[in-house]
Amino acid sequence: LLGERKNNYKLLCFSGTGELKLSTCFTEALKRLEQERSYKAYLLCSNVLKEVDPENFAKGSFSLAVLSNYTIHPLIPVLQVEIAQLDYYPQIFISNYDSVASEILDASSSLHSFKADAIILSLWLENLTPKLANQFVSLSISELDSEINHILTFIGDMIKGLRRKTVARIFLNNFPLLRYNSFGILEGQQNHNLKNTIGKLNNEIFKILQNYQDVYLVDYFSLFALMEGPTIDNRLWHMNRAPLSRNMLIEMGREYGKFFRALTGKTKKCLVLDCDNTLWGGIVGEDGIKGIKIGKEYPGSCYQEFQREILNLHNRGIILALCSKNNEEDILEIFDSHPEMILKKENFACWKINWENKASNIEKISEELNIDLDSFVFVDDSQFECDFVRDLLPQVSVIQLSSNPSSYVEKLRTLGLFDALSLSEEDKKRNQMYRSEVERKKAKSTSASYEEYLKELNIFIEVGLVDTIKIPRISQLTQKTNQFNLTTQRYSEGEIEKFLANENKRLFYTKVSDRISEIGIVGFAILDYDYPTAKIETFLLSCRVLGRKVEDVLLKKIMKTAKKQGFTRLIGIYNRTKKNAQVELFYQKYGFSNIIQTTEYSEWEYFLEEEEPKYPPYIRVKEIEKE
Amino acid sequence: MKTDSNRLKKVMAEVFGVKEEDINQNTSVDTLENWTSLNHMNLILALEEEFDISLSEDHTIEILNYPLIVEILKEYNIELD
Repeated sequence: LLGERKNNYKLLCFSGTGELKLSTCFTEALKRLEQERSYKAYLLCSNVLKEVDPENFAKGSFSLAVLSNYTIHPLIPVLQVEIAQLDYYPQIFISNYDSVASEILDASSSLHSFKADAIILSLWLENLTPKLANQFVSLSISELDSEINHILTFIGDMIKGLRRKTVARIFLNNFPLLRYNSFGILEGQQNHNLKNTIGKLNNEIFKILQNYQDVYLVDYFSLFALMEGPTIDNRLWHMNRAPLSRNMLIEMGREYGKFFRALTGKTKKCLVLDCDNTLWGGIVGEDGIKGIKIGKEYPGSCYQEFQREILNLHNRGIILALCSKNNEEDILEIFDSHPEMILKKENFACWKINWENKASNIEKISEELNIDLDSFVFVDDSQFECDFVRDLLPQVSVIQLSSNPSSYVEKLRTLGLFDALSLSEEDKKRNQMYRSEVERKKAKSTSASYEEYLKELNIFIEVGLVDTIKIPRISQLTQKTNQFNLTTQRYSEGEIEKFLANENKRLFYTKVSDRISEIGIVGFAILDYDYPTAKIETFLLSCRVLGRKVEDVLLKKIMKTAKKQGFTRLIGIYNRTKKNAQVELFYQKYGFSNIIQTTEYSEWEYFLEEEEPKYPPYIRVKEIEKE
Repeated sequence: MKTDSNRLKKVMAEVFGVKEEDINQNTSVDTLENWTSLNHMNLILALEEEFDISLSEDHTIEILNYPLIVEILKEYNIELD
């Protein structure tokens, strides 16, 4: 995670193992955290973090502002470490106790000079409205209404105030149930009671958020309801106005961590599954197809439940693959003919069922599907296989299943590795597309020439200017695309919308389909007008359409548009990242000449000529004109 | 229950972000710069986690130096070597 720090830094390690290097300390501390998931391990990590040079973080820093109307400080170490685990250095701003309104509404507040990437607004009902929370029984119906209005107006004003002044992502909570009934057993008999008042507030909060972009609901209601053990620490609440229990601090911090993972583009895309004792009980090679445990009775029911959850992930757009040490025909027979199997062969984009080691099999899956290894999650019940993959492919997340199959499903559900900030139509169709990809590769090997292959594919590309309906998908593309991405700028939906309103910017998309499937929106570019020069400040293409000349069409469309508008010169930019080496010379291929070159950055120039730019002949292109 | 006194030193070092060797009989809210009121909350949570106990309200206020913590832990059947 961390590189070496050159200067003599303060040497310390809190575990008492002597004077270890700081980067080692941090890595060790993170390892302990992974094993223990304890609050003290978070404290340790966060204290080590304070001594680490931010420059050690590959991705730079991530600025988080935390606004709350209660003492949220014990949560901060957890948030810091969750961010650091994503390779970002956490810069944190915490509001003073109960100064939410002034921080948000006063344009000169320190919040607004902080320049946050993300803002957490965490509100505690008992501080927001002590009357409603603690004296519910004494409220008349009109008083109750006015309390509710007061809360909702406050929340609405805060979100509106924030959204006006910043494009940062905003995370707002809803309210958990309080730990008591206002009327005892009469609660269920009352028209107005504390429970349904909280339900009503939460519904209204949900509605408020629908009006804004890049504002996300952090569902405290579910978080508190689903957590085992105490959620509130009454002592710290009374002594410090710090209500969260130790375990809640961990759970809540990790919940925010899931959001941070999604918005920094670290969402996992592909799930690789072992078979024996993972998808069913027993070993097919020994027990035979009739002997494996899968069905409606224990323990087979646990495996069915696990398979159903995997199918849910599949329907959310997660790519599935198999990696098993077995005879291929034995495994495929189970998928083909075992009546109790929930997962079917067609749910898997590919499989490696052989006797080779699993690390190299996973690498092959990654090549075949064109998905980076760091987007992979590997699930196995064997300690040996899990350790092996962890050692050889540290970028892959490994889930080791215990010997209790009834715990499998929860393990998969609670990690949040696949959580995304939005679910687009493309997500739901993605598995179909990856399967098609394998078919396409087959077609490729039977076609005589590459051009012939492309012709046979019957590619159809739509290219045009982005409209508002495409904003979610476009934002998602900027978050997720790493390899074919010239500048790797990540944009929120709000930012894209701002660009759309900007007269000097043109936003282009491409949508692709072929005879095998509809692929959807896969390419995006931003052109910046500064007469007589137009600058391509973003240019990206989803890696699953590489090699089909889609980039050719997108670039030609940009050239044509710029030319039509009277521009004579195009500038292309390349920002180096760890993953985009393949497009380093992209502009050169299209006849651009290099005008600036450093190790991290290059700029390319192209003069638009008389001749009209042409699309590749064997591809059908439809231009959507809006202007 | 008898236990290694290093466990206490270790958890205090982790909470306050200092070396284990820096925690000794003289460590107190007055001598340790990092022993802020916020870190005091963290200390309560970390001690409870480390020793699997739940401190009473009085005890959460009384744990103001190393010897006192050692004494209070005894009330929860934890004897440090």
